[in-house]
Amino acid sequence: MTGGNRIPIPLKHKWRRFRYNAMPILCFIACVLLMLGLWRHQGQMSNGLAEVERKCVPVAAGADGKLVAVSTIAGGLARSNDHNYWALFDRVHEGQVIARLDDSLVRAAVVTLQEDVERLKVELPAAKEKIRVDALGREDNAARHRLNLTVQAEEAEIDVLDRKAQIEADEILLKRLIARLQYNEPLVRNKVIAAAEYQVIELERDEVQKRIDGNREALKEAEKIRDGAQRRLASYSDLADPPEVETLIGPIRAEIRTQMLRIDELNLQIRTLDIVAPFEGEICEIHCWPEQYVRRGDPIVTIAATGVPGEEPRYAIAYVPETQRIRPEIGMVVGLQSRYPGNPRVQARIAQVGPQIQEIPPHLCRDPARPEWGLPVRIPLPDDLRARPGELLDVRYSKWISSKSEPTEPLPGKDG
Amino acid sequence: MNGFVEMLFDSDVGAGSGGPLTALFILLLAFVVGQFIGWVYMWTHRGLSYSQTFVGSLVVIPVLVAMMMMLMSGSIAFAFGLLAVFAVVRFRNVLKDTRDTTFILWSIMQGLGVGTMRFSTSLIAALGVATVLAYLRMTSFGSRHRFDAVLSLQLSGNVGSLMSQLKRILYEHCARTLLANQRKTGADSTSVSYRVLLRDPERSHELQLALENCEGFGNISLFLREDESEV
Repeated sequence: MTGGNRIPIPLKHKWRRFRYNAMPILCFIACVLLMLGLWRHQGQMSNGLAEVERKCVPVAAGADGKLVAVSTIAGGLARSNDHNYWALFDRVHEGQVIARLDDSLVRAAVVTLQEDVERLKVELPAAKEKIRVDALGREDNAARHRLNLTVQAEEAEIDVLDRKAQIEADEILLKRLIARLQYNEPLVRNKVIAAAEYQVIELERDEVQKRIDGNREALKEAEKIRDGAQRRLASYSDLADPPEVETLIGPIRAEIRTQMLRIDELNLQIRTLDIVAPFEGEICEIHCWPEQYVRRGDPIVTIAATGVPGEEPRYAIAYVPETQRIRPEIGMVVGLQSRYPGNPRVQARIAQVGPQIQEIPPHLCRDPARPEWGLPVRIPLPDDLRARPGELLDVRYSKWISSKSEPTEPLPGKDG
Repeated sequence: MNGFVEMLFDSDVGAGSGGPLTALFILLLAFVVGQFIGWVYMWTHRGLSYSQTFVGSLVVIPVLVAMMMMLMSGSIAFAFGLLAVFAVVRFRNVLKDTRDTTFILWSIMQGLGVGTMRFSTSLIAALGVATVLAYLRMTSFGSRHRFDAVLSLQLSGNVGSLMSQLKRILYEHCARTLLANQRKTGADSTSVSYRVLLRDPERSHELQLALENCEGFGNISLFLREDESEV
């Protein structure tokens, strides 16, 4: 519409009309742009969690029994507290004895075994005398000779058994003495106990060791004698034993076989008395304490392979939830970030993909109260990401990572 | 300074991953969607019962609900607690206006946020909602500010030429006009009613004077009125 000069619109009203008409649209556009920018940032947010692999093994009791306090050596020095048993974060070495089961039962079993051997020693002469009395009526020298050889063989067998039982008893005693020495060594170094007392234990240990060595030699001799007697007996195999020999010797032979099996059983029990650390690490959990009765298989402590040189964690395990529209593949680039402040975001590649969907551990779910299922993947940790075993890492599976910044060379990883 | 800012905006206790940018994104998206809903309502509304405050509430409520869901984090206990508080407040107060309800909800949400130790989220949400409300106030969002006066006059004579003259005068004084009513009152007289948006409302008397000075215009009345806010 043309016409005269239009009245100018005052600035106040222009501003008002701008506010009412243009400003909502401009603000809306600005908010949409900002929102899209943040949306893209949201896409870069972590959409998964990974856990750095950890090696954490419970050490169980090998037999039933009562736990006995043993000293623990941390870093070569005995701890200064009053307790002489394991404590949290104690460092242990591979093969180190962490705990012991009370050997009273085993010692009692050895004593019983020795008594049975004594009884057999008494029974055998009685049987021998009975046979001799019966054989007096016989004129056959060869049969009598064979009879004597049989008895000699059985006597040699009992002697072997006796030696073995003595060796077992001395070995138990030796172990106890060695344990006492290990316990007292740091006390002597710190002058808590006198060196003379320590030497007395050492002497006793040496004596027991000598006795064991002597008994071993004697055992070899006894076995030779036994073998010789059995060889001589075998040369009379064409002659049948008089029925009364088998009848009288049979139970003793059976008893000897039983005692040999009992020795094997005691050997096994002795080996399971010591609870040793399977690898080097730190005690991270304590399940049982000294003087506590445990059953075979009960966990005593849990050892974590933490901070051991050469055994830093190399992988992280992540789960890609089913609800995510991402199909993980070997070689896919993902972003990793530790949750500690200041840790940079690093990139890594998926090395392995699990074969099947499985339930995600609750602490790796976005909402621990809601179970999720996902595909596990294994991601080697880059060298510039320092992470402790069990630590949670934020993972980004966004396709934008692989399309924008896919590295052309293989990413460095701790596995090479 | 950085530490202080971090303390303010990243100190939620027990919050999952996300942080202040996620909270900001959520509130922003809720606001954009709410504004879109408000515009759709304004554009599609027909009828008499139009309420500007209701349209403003349509913009704010998505932001408040988004904040509520962020704070509840899927907790049933919080949901029932919120329900109870809201019921108590509603029971004691008759909320006359949707906008009042919005503010009550906002207050309850802030209490919920601070009480659940989501300090940074509460702070961001408070600033965000306040900004939205200020924006609504500044832009008078929801008002149908198309015209601010009603001009009624009677034309006696040649209606065609008088209308042309009238339009010329209105063009000078008005930014926008709309013929609301035209009624023939006699053989050569016509009564017209215009809704106008004055270029300068403080010079409305000049429009009236210009019309009075023209031949053929009579019974001139200029009625300044507020926008259609509440009917």
